[in-house]
Amino acid sequence: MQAIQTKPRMHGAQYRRRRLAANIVVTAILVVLCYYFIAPVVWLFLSSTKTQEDLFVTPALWFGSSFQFWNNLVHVMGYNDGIFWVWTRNSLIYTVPSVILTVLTSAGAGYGLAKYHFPGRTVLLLLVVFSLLIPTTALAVPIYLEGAKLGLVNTPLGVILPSSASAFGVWICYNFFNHQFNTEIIQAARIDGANEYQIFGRIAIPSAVGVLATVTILTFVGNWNNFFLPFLMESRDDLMPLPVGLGNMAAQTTLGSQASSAAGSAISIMDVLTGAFLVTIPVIVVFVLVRRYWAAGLLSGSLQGQ
Amino acid sequence: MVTRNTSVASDAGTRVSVAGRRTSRSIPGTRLAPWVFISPFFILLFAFTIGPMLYSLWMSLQSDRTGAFVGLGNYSTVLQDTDFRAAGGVIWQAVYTLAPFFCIVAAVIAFIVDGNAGWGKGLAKLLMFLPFAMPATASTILWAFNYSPDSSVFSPVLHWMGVTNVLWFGTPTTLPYAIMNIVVWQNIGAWVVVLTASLAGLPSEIIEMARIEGAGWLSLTLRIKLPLIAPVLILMVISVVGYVLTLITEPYLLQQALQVPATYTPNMWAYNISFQSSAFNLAAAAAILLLLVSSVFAITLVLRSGVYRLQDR
Repeated sequence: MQAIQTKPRMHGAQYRRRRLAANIVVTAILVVLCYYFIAPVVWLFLSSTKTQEDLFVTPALWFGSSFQFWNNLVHVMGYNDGIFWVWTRNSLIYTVPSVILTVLTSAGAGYGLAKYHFPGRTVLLLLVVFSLLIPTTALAVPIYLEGAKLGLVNTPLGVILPSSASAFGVWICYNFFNHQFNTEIIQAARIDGANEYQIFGRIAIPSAVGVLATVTILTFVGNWNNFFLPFLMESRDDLMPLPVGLGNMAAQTTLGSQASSAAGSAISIMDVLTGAFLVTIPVIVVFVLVRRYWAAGLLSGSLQGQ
Repeated sequence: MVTRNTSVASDAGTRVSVAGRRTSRSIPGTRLAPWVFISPFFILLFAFTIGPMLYSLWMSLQSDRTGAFVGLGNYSTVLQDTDFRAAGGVIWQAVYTLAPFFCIVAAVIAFIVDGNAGWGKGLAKLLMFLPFAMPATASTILWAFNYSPDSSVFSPVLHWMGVTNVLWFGTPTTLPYAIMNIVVWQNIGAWVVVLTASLAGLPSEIIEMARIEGAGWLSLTLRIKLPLIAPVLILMVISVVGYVLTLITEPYLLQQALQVPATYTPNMWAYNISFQSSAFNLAAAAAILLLLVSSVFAITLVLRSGVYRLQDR
């Protein structure tokens, strides 16, 4: 907008033409980009409504000759005596407690690090930043090795506890309390006789609802989608979360090829596709409902200095 | 600002006062409070981030067969393993091809979205961001089908452009690109959103000043805006390189569909050696190597770039 206003208005018509051209070019680039990003997702939905034969012969971006979504759904839910339900339940068992733990521990640590000065604070802060920089997938094998020693393999805690130590969540909360939560409020409350825990519970937490919502969403999606850690930790079929169970199904079929049906594999590729669509639904719903928090959270999690 | 001033003041106070008491600590009961607030997280962090690293380090120094201390023996075994070296080569190639490509494309898209021209940019950002919400399992599955000429959404487009021999399906030379494409598709939108948000948050006085000084669109972008968002760019580089170094989900799930070797990446090698051969100490050594490379890279970049500092220090 500013660029437009600072341009001289003398050549109004010429300038408007040029702006129209720029609009058209940029919009065209965006349309191409959006096709690349979104067409495969639309395809996934459409494919889950097709039969396996239609998948390869009907137009990729339109419905097949018949609407088979409910049949596909029933089929994948019936696979292996309804193991899909068990995976869904496991996903919830792993995700919900780890989200709650993450939010509570992140709020506490972010607040403690931002609002108090105590010996070792800088070291702990550096430790948080260090943990933030390590890719979580690099930690999965070490966590598995430790978990094997501690007897956490093939238990829900083996996934829940490691997924609850979120440096990212702490960093977001720390940034919030450091920049957007005034220390004078704390001092005023202290003068009024509130103790530290009352200040945290009654003033700090309520004022941080937005940022805690962000941590909740990012942790939920991250843990719901997580593959490698639960993949290592939960080797029993009835303990796997959805992405791992679905991944195992996928690994047994030749994805993207018609050959799997000919080979008479126990798993149909339609089960895998419908499953992939079902796993995606909860995160897409969360994504669309609360998209404002996502962007804000990712940004505050990545703004490291300045 | 207020926070910053308070902390500076209390730091100065420590140095001056003999008792070493700061404002917050002079109130009864505040000495313990910060530890109550931070310890749940740090207990978890020590148990499941620092602990596993130290335990793996300790394990990596012992022999798989005898349990005896072997020093760096496991590391030399891992580094001399043909499959591990091949996996390292694959990852190295991805680091210097995919990472620059990813970061440059993300920045270019972000500048396009941040610019004045174009319609529907809010919607475009939303749609580019959507794949980031999907589980990697689902996105790998859907791409496996979209690499197949018979079911790909890109087939009609390619046919229209006169390309009939579609995409990368199934050949070893094109396999890295098949995997990289999934990584880009899944993750780049999130960084576009982060970059556009930080571009939108730049102080308008600086931008305005540069314009008055006569900076055109290109110099404004390259000389003013790009250096200002450098911290976020650095973090993107660290994050992308970390993702590539520890790649496993996408190649593992494509094993059947694209004939990916079982030890295609170092992380797959570590998984394979522990679950197929029960050589857990070797897996520990491989994991420590991965951690070492990714953290040394991240720390070096952060320190050398000088764009990153703790907020109130």
